[in-house]
Amino acid sequence: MYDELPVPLTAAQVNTDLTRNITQTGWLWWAILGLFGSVFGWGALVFAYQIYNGMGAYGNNRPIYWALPIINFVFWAGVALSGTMISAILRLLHAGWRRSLTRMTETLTVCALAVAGVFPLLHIGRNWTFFWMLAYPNERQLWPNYKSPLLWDATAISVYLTTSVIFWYSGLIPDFAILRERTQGWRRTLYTVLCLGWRGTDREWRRLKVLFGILTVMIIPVFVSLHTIVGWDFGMSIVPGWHSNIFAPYFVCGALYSGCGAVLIIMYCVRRSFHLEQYILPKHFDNIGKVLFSISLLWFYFFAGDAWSDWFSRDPSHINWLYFMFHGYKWVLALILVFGILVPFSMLAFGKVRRTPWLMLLVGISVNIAMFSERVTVVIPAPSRNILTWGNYTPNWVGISVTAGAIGLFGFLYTLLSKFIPIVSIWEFREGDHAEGLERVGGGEMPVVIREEAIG
Amino acid sequence: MAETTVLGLFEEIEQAASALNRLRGEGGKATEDLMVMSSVPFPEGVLESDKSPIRLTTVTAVFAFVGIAFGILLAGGTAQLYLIPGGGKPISPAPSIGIIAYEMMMLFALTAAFIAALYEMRLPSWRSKVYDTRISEGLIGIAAHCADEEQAEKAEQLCRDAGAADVRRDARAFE
Repeated sequence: MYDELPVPLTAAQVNTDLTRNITQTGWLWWAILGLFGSVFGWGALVFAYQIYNGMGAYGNNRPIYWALPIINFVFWAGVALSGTMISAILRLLHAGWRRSLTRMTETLTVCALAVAGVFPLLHIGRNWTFFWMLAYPNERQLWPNYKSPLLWDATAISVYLTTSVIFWYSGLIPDFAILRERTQGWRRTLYTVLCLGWRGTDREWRRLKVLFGILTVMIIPVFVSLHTIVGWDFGMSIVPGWHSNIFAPYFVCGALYSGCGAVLIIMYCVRRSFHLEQYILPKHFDNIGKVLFSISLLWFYFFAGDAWSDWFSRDPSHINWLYFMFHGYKWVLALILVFGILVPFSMLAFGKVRRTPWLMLLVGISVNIAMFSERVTVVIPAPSRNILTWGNYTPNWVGISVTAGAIGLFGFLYTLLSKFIPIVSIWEFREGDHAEGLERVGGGEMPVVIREEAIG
Repeated sequence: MAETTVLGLFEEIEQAASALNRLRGEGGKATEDLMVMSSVPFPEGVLESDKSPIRLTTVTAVFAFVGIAFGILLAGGTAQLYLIPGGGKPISPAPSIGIIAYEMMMLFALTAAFIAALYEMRLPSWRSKVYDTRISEGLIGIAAHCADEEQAEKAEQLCRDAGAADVRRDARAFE
């Protein structure tokens, strides 16, 4: 759709538009921050209650020891995946339309991963001993047990968070330099420190490009490794229903699915909240919608394949979890089928729907309801029957509050960061002015793009 | 006269490129005495003043190997320090060592690439250096380091001839 090429804007206009979220603070921002902060605060209070009363407060008991904290962990780790992935893959493919999306998606990853990282700490029960997971010399010469996939997990999350923050911050440095010139008082001091003395010299830009080339190529396997390892938390166990070879790619695909849904939600909220209609265009929703449609089909393939292979084996121990899924947890399964398959398939197939932002918001919410439910069916039904015990799990007010608290923490972090960083990358957007344009070919005007190598 | 820098500010890329060529040709400026400043990157070769070698890929590769070694020591070495027999598995199994070594490889390589990039960019730098706030608003700055008044006057004239929106002198550090 050539009619949706960005309207040419002056550099000063772009700077003004894309720093408005920082330079102007309305009551709505405070209200949203307060709302998310209150929900997070409630979750934190309930967590304090859990510390006092023990892990039983969540309602987990034999044989279901992993409940909402781990469901939340897997879900938020999945949401975190697509932010950096979309940014990295689109950079690698030289997709010009990425320029409006990279910053908001990278910020999504940083915030979601911070939320995901909280849950293993909640889940360990005696939270005050969390540092036992770290490898440090101690008087008893005890070291973490690296044979445990749970420790691989802690390592992978730490690595992904560190590298995602590097990826995010590297792109922010030139924008911080612009903010240094546009702010006063303590903010100016803050941005002077954060931009590290950036001037935009040829020397600096050349190296930033090469750095992005390296980061882009290498961060893709990092997020794939994170989600395969999350899958192995289950797959490496001997619990029937969990012990599955398909879990590693299935988890990566599931993470892509929920993450792309979250990207749609963030795109809509950022566009609406900061009046960025000129920067985040219907074509962006259309493109992400196409990606999501493709991933939804792939995810369905894995989802069905996981159940199908266990059912077809006729191994009683492997069929048990399916029995639970079609009986005790049938309503959760129904949520997956409706919100993860029926709604996205019926909406994403139509170009008009994909180009309507509020409908894509609904798709994003729908996908994430489904993916949270899918995490429930991964974590709960499989251990519901072991050799000695049968059990069931119903979430109680503690688990629901902590789950709501996670949404509150994510929203709080994202809202707060949106006050300090340009949520659309200024330099990348303006770079497009030089790299993209219209060329008259025959009877029409065609978009032309200057393409460069990813690694210099 | 003390050394100074002439800073020409341009609205158009073509004007900036013309100034850069004239300063090199007619002005006789060496590459290390010229500097392009902008708030956006340009495609390679459009406005190029820096020719210094970039060693980030080498640093990344070296630290990837350092990370692998660290990962092996972390997962395999610490297991030998405190023996936990389990499930008939070796004390230091290859799969778990491999995974931790892989993660450490990525962590070391990417962190080193970032730090090396900052080092090569000469950041962080808190000294006051040649700059103009209008560069962040879209103007392109061409800075020419001049040893004496004659050079400075010539550089100013060349920048004006190329169509500079403004030309001024800056006594702050060039690099």
